[in-house]
Amino acid sequence: MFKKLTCSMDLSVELSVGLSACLLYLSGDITPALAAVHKVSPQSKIQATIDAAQPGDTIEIEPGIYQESLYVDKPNITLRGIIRQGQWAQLDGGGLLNDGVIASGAGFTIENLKITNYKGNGVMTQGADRVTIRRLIVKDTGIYGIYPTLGHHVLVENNVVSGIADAGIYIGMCDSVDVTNNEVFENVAGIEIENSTKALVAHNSVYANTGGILVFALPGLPRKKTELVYLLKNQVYSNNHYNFGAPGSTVSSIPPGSGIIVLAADQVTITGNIIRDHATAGILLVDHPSMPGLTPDPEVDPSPDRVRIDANIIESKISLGPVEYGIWFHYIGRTLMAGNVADGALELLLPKTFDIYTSGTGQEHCLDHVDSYRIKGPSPFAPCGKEQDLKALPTTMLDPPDSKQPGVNLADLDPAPHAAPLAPAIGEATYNAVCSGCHALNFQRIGPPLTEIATKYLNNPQGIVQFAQHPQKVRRDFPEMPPQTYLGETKLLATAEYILKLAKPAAQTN
Amino acid sequence: MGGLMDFVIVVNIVMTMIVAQILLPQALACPNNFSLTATGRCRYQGPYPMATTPTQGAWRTLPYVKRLDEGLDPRAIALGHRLFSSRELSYERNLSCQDCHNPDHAFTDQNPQSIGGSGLALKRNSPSLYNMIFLQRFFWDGRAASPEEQLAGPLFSKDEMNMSPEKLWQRLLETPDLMAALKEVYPPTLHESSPESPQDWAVRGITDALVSYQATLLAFDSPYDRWALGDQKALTQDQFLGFNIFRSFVSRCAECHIPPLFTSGQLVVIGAPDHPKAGPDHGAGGAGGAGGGAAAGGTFKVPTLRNIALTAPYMHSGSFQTLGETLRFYNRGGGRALGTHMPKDLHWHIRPMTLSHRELQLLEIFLGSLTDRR
Repeated sequence: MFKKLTCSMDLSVELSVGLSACLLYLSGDITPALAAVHKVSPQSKIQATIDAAQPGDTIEIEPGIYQESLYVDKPNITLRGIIRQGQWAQLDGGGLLNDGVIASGAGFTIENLKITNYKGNGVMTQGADRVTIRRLIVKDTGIYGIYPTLGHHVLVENNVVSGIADAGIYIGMCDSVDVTNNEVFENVAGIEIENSTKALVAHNSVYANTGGILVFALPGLPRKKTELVYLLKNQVYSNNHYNFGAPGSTVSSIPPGSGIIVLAADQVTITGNIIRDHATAGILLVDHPSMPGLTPDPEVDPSPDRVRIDANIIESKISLGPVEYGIWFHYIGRTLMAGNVADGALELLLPKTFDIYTSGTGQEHCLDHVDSYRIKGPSPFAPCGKEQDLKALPTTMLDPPDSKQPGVNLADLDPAPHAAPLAPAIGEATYNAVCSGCHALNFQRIGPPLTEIATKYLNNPQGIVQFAQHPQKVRRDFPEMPPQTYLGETKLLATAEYILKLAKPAAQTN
Repeated sequence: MGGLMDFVIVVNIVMTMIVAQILLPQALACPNNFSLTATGRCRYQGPYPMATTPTQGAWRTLPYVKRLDEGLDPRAIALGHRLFSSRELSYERNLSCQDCHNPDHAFTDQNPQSIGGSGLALKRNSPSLYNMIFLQRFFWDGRAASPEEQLAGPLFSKDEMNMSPEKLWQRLLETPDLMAALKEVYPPTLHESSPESPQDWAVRGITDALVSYQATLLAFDSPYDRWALGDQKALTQDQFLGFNIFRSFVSRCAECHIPPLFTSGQLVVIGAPDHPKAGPDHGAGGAGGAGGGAAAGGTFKVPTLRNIALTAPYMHSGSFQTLGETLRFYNRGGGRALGTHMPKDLHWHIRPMTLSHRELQLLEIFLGSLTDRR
């Protein structure tokens, strides 16, 4: 039925209902039952197949070289390379094309491809939710290798990314992100989490970049903070590459030899990592004025707060050799040439070798065994106390049950005491992942608005839980809600409480 | 599922038709993108939904605006429309809102800097009013935090409308039909305990009516929108190629001009030149700007690109005559191309784009697809 309802209607016909159906289409909330698999061989164009595909379809790409930029602007499309006898499907921009892949449709999956020689990005998603990017070999694709931006529920796993002039894997203004099991090397920045919330960066191998893992809250962007970031069990080593970032770019001011940099981000957990052989510092904790080239933004808190550093192995270089000094002179020269060096940032330009470097740090940080490390700058750390149970955090993503993303189970994210930092977010995450498909705060989507629900169940979250477990048809003009029992009582209650918190103020003023 | 959706759609269409066509009088019509509620207000019903969570708000959704969700008073919209074009609102009866925000030019005025009531050029280029209700800050320097605060700017500026609450009240006394219209929409409240002065009442009513009208100036009916809402053929081949350049990180346009508003609303430094006649302009970095002392010199709000083909000349100063000239400025690296004269605190996205002549042409062709059907 849905395929009949294409969105090519004339907008001057004021059928608001039809339009909202189109938006459901674009957000990927409606998927046709029958999905097709299309095959592409090097004699034809992948883009032509994408254009002909229906939402939900899979495009399988035969081994060979494809000189194309791909654009995916419909939901639930999968691009899958076929690997046969060691031969891969390869997107090659020949150093001439701007972008490898840009996707704006929700539920986008890309896997098993080599992507190389582009000027802009390897893979970029813009405003797309439920994105999976995995098993790609991305090399020399310009500014970013893998760049999901403005999306919810993003999975980046098992990729190999190298030779990128900015960040190999760049998570920009996203929520609920997992970056796991990637190999990231010889980029200016390895993995960068920027103005994003709820991000897990785990089991990655990050080496030979200028800076390994960056957790940044940057100025001048519409999203104003980075928080709840978990760097767990990564191998971060020898990130001493000379800085080849474009003059003026943020990463051009990263001092070579930086393992992990936390800039103005809050609630960052750095646990169980191996961080070795860095010429500047294993971990840098800095605020905006300490980084050269950052513009002021009154709406961004410039200091990092509540950073937890424990159970890591940190070992930095003891002294610098001629190669490192050469890399330093190059860095200092180009940073000064680029201008915009605030007074507070001058110190970062000097060569140094420490385990932990702090400058302009915020508050409430903790560090295990303060005495074990060579720390430069103020030491704002309290002891960390009890070790965290890392098993409690396999993912930061919560998925609707029909999602295509594998390896993510709603039951995995249990708000048990050891996962305390995430517990308050569970209600919100579940609402965003599951409920918001049919409910909106103030208007009727498929089900009634939250304000109506909050009026009916004022101070009675348990009532919402019971209804969600055993829904009944209440009103003739609404479809009956499917039962949400699979979420479990705890998650349902957290969600009900979140819904009431979100909608109660609005409900009371109505 | 399919049958269910059919059913829901049919029910909704029927309900909409009943409510809109039969039950309510024709006089209370709402503008495009709005629908009349049972309580007689005009509620936003445009093609892009408003965000329901704080983390939404780009590419597919609009920021949440409470007054659009609760609905606007259609009488206030009509009165605001009338006031918008009325020179009675200026003390010397020589200027209306529309003189600088002309609907024929997407609510701009074609001058490098707008002309004030006294006939002298003002400081900056007139910005388009389309979709202004979704913004968080107003004026090129972002100094106003609400549309009401914005409106007080030109209304009470000596160089523009040159009004004061007292003069406004006087003008209403001299203009009985305006007074009557205002009283009808905003019946004066008569509380013994906290009486509102006639002057305050006049400012409140006129402001609310004008803001209500401006809140209906929405631009979501361009070829780009038809494409974004699912019509694959809505953009021409060249427009689509241009869009792909626009959203590429090679150009980085979409990083600040984020759909569907085509602005992030941020205050940034790009290093656009001041106009020789208007002189140096520090924007939000200057006195009274939103950034106060903290923001950098030459800091301006990212403007929307909607209907940009209709709003020449460009930038805060109106220094660029054509879109092509503006795009070449960005392609060279904006203020970064000025070398030693480079302004401080340039936004990091401002760097050379290295686009070819053909790519710049395509980019300009795409910008033409942001022009609304009228």
